[in-house]
Amino acid sequence: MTAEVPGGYGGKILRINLSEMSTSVERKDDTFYRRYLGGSGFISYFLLKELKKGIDPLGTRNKLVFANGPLTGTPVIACGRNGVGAKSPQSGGIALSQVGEFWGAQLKWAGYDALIIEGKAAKPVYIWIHDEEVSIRDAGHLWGKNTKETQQMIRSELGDDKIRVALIGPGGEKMVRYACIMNGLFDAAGRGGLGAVMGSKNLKAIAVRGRKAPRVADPARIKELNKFLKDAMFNNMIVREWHEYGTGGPSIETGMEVGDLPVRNFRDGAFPEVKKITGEVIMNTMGVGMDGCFACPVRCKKVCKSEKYSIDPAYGGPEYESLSVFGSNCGVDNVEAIVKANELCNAFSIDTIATGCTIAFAMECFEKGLLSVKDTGGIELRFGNAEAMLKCVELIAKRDGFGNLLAEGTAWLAKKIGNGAEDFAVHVKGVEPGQHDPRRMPSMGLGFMVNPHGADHCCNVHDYKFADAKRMKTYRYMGFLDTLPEDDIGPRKVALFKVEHLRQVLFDSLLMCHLAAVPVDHKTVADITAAVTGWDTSVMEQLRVAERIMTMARLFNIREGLTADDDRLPLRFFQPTTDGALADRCLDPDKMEKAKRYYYTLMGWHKEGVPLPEKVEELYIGE
Amino acid sequence: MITVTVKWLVDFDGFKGARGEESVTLQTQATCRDLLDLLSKSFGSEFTERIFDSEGKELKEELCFLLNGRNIASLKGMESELKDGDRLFIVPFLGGG
Ligand code: SF4
Repeated sequence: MTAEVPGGYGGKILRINLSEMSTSVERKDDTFYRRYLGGSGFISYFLLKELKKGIDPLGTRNKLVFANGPLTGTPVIACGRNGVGAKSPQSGGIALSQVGEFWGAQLKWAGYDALIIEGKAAKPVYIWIHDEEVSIRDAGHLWGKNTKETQQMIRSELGDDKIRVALIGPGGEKMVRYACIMNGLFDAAGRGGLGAVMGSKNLKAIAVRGRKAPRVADPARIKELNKFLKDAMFNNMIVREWHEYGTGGPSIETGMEVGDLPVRNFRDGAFPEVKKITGEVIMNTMGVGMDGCFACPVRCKKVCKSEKYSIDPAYGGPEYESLSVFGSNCGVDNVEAIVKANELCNAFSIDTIATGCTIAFAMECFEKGLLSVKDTGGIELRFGNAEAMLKCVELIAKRDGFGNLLAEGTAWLAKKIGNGAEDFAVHVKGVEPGQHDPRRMPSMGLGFMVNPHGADHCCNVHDYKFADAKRMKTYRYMGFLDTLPEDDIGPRKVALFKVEHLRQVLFDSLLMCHLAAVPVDHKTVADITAAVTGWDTSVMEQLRVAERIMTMARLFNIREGLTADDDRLPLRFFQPTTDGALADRCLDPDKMEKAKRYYYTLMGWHKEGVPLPEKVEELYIGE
Repeated sequence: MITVTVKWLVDFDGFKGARGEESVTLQTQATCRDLLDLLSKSFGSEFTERIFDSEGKELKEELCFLLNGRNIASLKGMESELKDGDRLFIVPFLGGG
């Protein structure tokens, strides 16, 4: 097909088969791009179409898909992102993860909208994409190296410092079930174990350098939109906070106050020590600067350095998720240890959220007597023990001793330990949750349940918006005129959840950063898409595309045997915390179950969560 | 009289009143609005402009007012009554990961 490529796209899809050491390029038409958009859309499309049912996620038949969106690498601000997906070794369903930095933009500039990795290399390799030239190179000398050394060695052997590298460290090589893929040294496609899939293919890294920016349909309109976006972002105090301190700045204390911040494996609520671990404290004591992604003025990435624990600034610094998971969720108030844990995860390429949550779960097991020093190899794994936490991070990445158990993640560990451990194992579909407690936000809880890739906080919804008259203004034109209480999860809230969740799905498909997208409502999403692609698109079309993407991901999971029963929150969220803001509040299982069923109905899915054949046909899925 | 603890974080730009924490004594049955009026008196018009919208009536969109961990939007708004020992936060909306 040689039809004209819509604005924003590179026009090519690159397929690399590592078993055969072959590469090929495919082209798609305008209808394909318009129907599947990019990112999560492309990933769901290719995995649904090409994977065989029941394959081993860590076997040769899994495919690893890197996908850009039409916005990736364009001048639209905060769009230097790419998506990554595969069958997840954590959930057995689909893994969808997004990541910033400059790698996706470079891939786009080299002309590619997606990269599909198939098969398994006979020995360690890395891929080098330099515009049209693609080569598969030996990585024997890189195997076993951490991410920093790997990136340095690749850049120096290819003789170009501007090369961007997506890569794994030892955690990915050892197939830690929740290993991640790093773009550079501090941005991770963190969730769902994609780094383990990359490791299973003997693929150490993908180095990219592209030289041609994609054409955009309406550069003048993009300029206007950029001005609007930048003003709106910097008019917003939370964005200014991220600019200054990164996520988890001073307002992390608010998180504790309202019960958003997980404390000790989501068991407790009060953590007055939060004052010692804020992004502000970190920047004031260890900060050496801020960094950011391609074309983003927010620059929310902390860069930290410290003599204590010899923290290397090359690995950036912790964002909110990592601060919370290694801080309050492990009961740790030693701020340097938290920053160190984050650094180690980035060096080894393991997901901070899953690592911290698994350790927190093990700490609770230890305190309850379900694990002993005999199991842990002598580690006193109690909440608040920072040294024990750091030791565990290292052991996990190396799958050494007790680390080999932890490397399987919370769900697996809970099953192995038994004796009631599953009652406080906090995960959905085997994926540990983002660090926002859903007990105060039932929509977030619903998102944790129905997200095809597990308990993700990014592709999700915060209820407070719907309780606030001013914020509700941006939903009026869709007919949502009234505010709804924060703790409501009735049909009206579910309907709002659906459209708001689909907006997040669009961010993950167009590839725009959720953080910087704070002022981007549904209309602006459609406006930006039109300006970049040249399509006469609208909110209605965009929502339809997002619905298609969610339905494809759903179909993938159903084929893999996941059912409505897997859309289930852990028991802990139906119990109040021991103290703090949620000591008298928790989710109601019946209400959540009803909300889930109503969501299925709104999505055109059967009451067991299976998309109706009519829905599948309506959305042109499989064509 | 009642005593409440109030903590506020309304900007990052170095303005002295932009953040702080204090125990404040108020009349029995005082409301959130009374408390904000009191803070406005201490810190002057610059503070007021930072927390209220252009009409000076409602909190700025980016801020929320938490009374013992609950957003006053889901209580009686600015007219929510305070009681002895209450904890108040005036802070930006949470979000992000
Ligand atoms: S807000 Fe932060 S994470 Fe998002 S694009 Fe900008 S620098 Fe990257």
